[in-house]
Formats: sequence, C-alpha cells, structure tokens
Amino acid sequence: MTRIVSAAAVALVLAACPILGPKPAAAQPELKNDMIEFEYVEPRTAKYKPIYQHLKEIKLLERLAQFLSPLKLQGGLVLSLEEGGPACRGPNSYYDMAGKLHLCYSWFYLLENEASVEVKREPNEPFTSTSLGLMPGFTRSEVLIGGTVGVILHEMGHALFDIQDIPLFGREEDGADQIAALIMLQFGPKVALTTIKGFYNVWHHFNAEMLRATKGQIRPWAEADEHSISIQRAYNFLCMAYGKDPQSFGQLADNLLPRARKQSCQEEYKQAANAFRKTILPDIDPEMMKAVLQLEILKPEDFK
Amino acid sequence: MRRIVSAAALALLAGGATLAAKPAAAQTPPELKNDNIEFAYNEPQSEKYRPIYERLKERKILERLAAFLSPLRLQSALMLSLEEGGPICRSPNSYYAGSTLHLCYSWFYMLENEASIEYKREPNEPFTAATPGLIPGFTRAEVIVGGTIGVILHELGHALFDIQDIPLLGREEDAADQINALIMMQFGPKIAQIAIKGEFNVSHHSHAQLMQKQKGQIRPWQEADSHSVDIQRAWNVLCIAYGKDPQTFAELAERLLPRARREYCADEYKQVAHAFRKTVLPDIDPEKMEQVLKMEILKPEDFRF
Repeated sequence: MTRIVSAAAVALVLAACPILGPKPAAAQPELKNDMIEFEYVEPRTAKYKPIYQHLKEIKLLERLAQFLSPLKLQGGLVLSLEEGGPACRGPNSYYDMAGKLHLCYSWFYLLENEASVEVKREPNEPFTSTSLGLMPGFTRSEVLIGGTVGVILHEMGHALFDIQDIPLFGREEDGADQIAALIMLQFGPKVALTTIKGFYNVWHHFNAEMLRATKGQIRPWAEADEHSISIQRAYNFLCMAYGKDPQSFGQLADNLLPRARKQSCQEEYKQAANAFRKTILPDIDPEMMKAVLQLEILKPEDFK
Repeated sequence: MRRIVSAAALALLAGGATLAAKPAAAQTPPELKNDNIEFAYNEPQSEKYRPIYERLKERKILERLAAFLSPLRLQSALMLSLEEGGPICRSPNSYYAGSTLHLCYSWFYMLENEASIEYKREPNEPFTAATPGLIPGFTRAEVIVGGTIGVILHELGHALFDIQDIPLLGREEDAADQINALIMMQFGPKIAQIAIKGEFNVSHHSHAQLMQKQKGQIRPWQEADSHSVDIQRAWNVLCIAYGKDPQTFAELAERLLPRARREYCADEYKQVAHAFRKTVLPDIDPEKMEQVLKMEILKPEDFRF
C-alpha cells in the first residue's frame, strides 16, 4: 500500500505532474541547468498512451526542468516519465537514490480515473472518511493539478535530500511532504489552494480505499510503514498551508483539520521554512529563482 | 491521549505556569559540569508521588542527567525540572517549554503502576495490540528504566532543536523520538536493549489502552495529532535500533516489526546518525563526550523499585 514510496527503498514509485507555466519557449535561456536532463519513455500499455501523449504535448518535463533550474545541484538529476517496472505498478512514483526521478504513468492514471472522479452516493448518504474519489467542494481539475504537482515536489524532496546531502531529523517521507507543501505555498493563494486541495483529496482517496479494505481498522503494516498513514499526510499538508496562510485556508481547516492540531500549524510551517532557508536556499541561484517565481505556474487548460 | 506532548502545543498552555524550584548545586565531577545546565527537584503536593520524588532524588537522577548533558555547548541555558506541575502534567506526560525540560511525576507513576504491570489474561487469551501493560518476554525493570530514559531523551531532543536552532524537515515529534533512539544506541547492546524495549513497551501500552477504549478504531483527532500514533512511535524507535544493530535486535524485530519496514531500518538509522553528525555533533565537546561515553549510565540500584 505504499504510494509514492520512499527513496530509500530500491523499489519505489512516483508520478509527476505539470506545474510550471509558460511553455519553455526558446526565449528563456537563463532558466537552463546542465545538471538536469529529462526523458519521455513511451509506454507499452495502451491505456497509458493518452497520458504519455498529453504530458509530452504540454511539455511537462521541459517545464519541470525549467522550474528546477535555479538549483545548484551537487550531482546530475534525470527526470523520467515512464511506465517503469514493478515499482510503478501500483499508483506510484519514486526517486531511486541514484539521481533519477521516476514519474510513473500509473500515478497519473489514478489521478484521472479514480481520485478525481465523483463517486455516486445514495440520496442523503454523507461523504465520509471511507468515501472514495472527489470530495464535495473540490474540483476534478484541482485533484489533477494538485496530484501532479504534489507527486513531483515530493519526489523532488527526496532527490534534494540525496543530491544535496541535507541533514534530516524526522522521517524522510514526512520531510519530502514538507518540501512539497512549502513550495506549493510560494506562488500566491490561488496556486496554494489548488495544489493543497488537490493533494489533500488524493490522500483522502487512498485512506478511504484502505479503510474500506480493512473495514475501518488500520492494520499494522500501514502503521509500520515508513510513510505516515494517508490521512496523516493529508492533515500534514493542510496544516502547513493553514500555518502559512490562515486567511486563505481558514474555512478548509475549520472543515477538515481537528482543532487541537490547528494550534500548532503556524509553528510547523515556520519550522519547515526555517529548515529550508538553512539547508536548501544557500544552493539556489537568487536571480533564477526570481524568474521562476514569476512563471505562470499553473494552467488549468493543461488538464482539460 | 497525548503523552509527552509537543513543545509547540504546550507553549500555549505553559505560558502561565511557573516553576518555583530553586536550582540545586550540581554535585558532579567538576570536569562534567556545564554552567548552562541547572536542575530542580520540586517536592510534590500529592502523596502518591512522594516515593517517586524521594527515590529519584536519592538516586540523583537530575545530577546524573546534568553530567550526561554537560558536553553540549548550549547557546542558552537549560533547566531540568522534576515536578508535579500544572494541568499539562495531570495525565502521564512530560514536556519541554520555555527553556525548561519539565519531567512530571505523573509519567513515572504511570511507568510504575500501569505500563510495567502484567495484566491478567484469561487462560489461552493471547497478548494482542489491545493488551495493555507488560509485554510477554519483557521485564518490569526494563519498562521503568527504559521509559525513564525515553522520556528524558525525547524531551531533550525538543530542547536541542530549540536551543541550538537545528533545521528540521520532518515532524518534530518524530525527530525527537529519533534523537531518543539514536542516543540510546550509543552505550552498547545491553543498555540499548533495556532502553529500546522499555520505550517500545510504553508506547505499546498507550496504544493498547486506546485500542481497548475505541474498539480498534483510531479517531481523526489522533491521526491529526502532531505526534505519530503510539504504535507508530514504538515501531520507529525499534526500527532505528534494528538498523544500528541487527544482531542484537534481530529477534525483537522479527517478532514485533513488520517485515516490509525492517528493510528500511539500516537507512533510517544512517539518516539520523548523519543528521546528528552534521547538526548536533559540532556543538559537543569531544573530550567531555568521551568521558560521558565511559560513564556508568545505569547503576544496579536503578533496577530496584
């Protein structure tokens, strides 16, 4: 049941999504980084073909490479969109601890066909923690965008930890989630709301799947996993967002985040931001970062 | 059900609480002294805590802790306080707030009277995730000693993060548990086993109480807590131990840690040890640390209750 499996494992999986705005037209030579390469690997499986074609067409990896270009990386990074092997079989994506970020088609397939789909309920049947698919008040496009951005940034976190040799206290999987949340929150409230809501919905969906399979009990293998439980991950993301921007996320937090946790969110955000400043920011080119922050990060039409 | 509650959450509550305690003079070898560390035994009002207070004072637990911590070049002062405390200490707990490590008698009381007690089971009734108290094959002394070391080192983790301004990516509560496990593993297999088993048992006990009360369900507010769920904490600590010393902890890990997780433990230990080297070690006096590593961390009388 490991989704977006940990980098530490040899067999892991992840998926990627389009984030970054303007197509990398030749007009922006300054957002290039020789340490970053990418490849679109054509899928063997027919059901993944449309995803492959679509993501290639919107230049997902070109844009991702551009987005990452301000990083002064201590080693090479390859971004690969692929059907992959066993590690990609469940909806997944992964960083392999050897310089390659594997974005599996299986992840995007899940986003499009499961997590973002509204599941029919009986009249008066409430949406509960075991309800699958799209959450009420959320949109399909939020889930597609948030789920894509989220998986990319989470795996990026693992890649950074490895390549830049970042000291990590706390569980690495949670650290990668914090990196993802932190970055999602740097592009204004609109991008923040879209991506956080979308990724929250994905984790809610996974948790609902698990609760259904186990009749509401959390099994030892889930609790013992090196990842937090899916719903814990959902709460962690929302808490970071609420901590950074209590106005934009007030209503969402009131609805979804237990009150006791809400009190520590500001501290949690500050702590992650402080760690980012101390350990990652020194290796980011400030001029290039300024340019990246002005990119049109998300384009809803990319997901139509 | 929050035990060893998060520093951030507590800061709110702790605002008004003051510690009346006067810092005692440390009676430790002069070479293991640190002017930034003070301590206080605060006499409890509650009768039931008196034996704990007297025993811990007699065994000089805070003097020994202060000596143990003396190699740290702290950027500001740290106060170690043993206390009955206010509302935050009411349920079994301990916490770090305002440069003070608050060790509550309620925690030690729970260790002695709940977590380390063998609960009666029906004949043929198995010990399960919902069985509180002593785990079969564990000893009462391990639980009390390990639970004592565990709470101290966990809160010490919070104190270090705050005072030394350590960068944290990942949840602070898990990070404090990692500091705890990492330090437990530096004093040889015998101490490692006592400390890790005891800590594991305490978390298992808390989790079992929850499982009993809630018929096996975990509630949203528990999953949303800034701490991991208790049984996750138990496994995290055991995983670090198994990752460092797979020989000594093989049997325990095979029995208690799901196989899929075991594969990651060596990496998890390495990650934490690496972070410690990079962020904490530069502020440790190497000569004093050598002495601390040779200290008799646990004395025979520590195992008498």
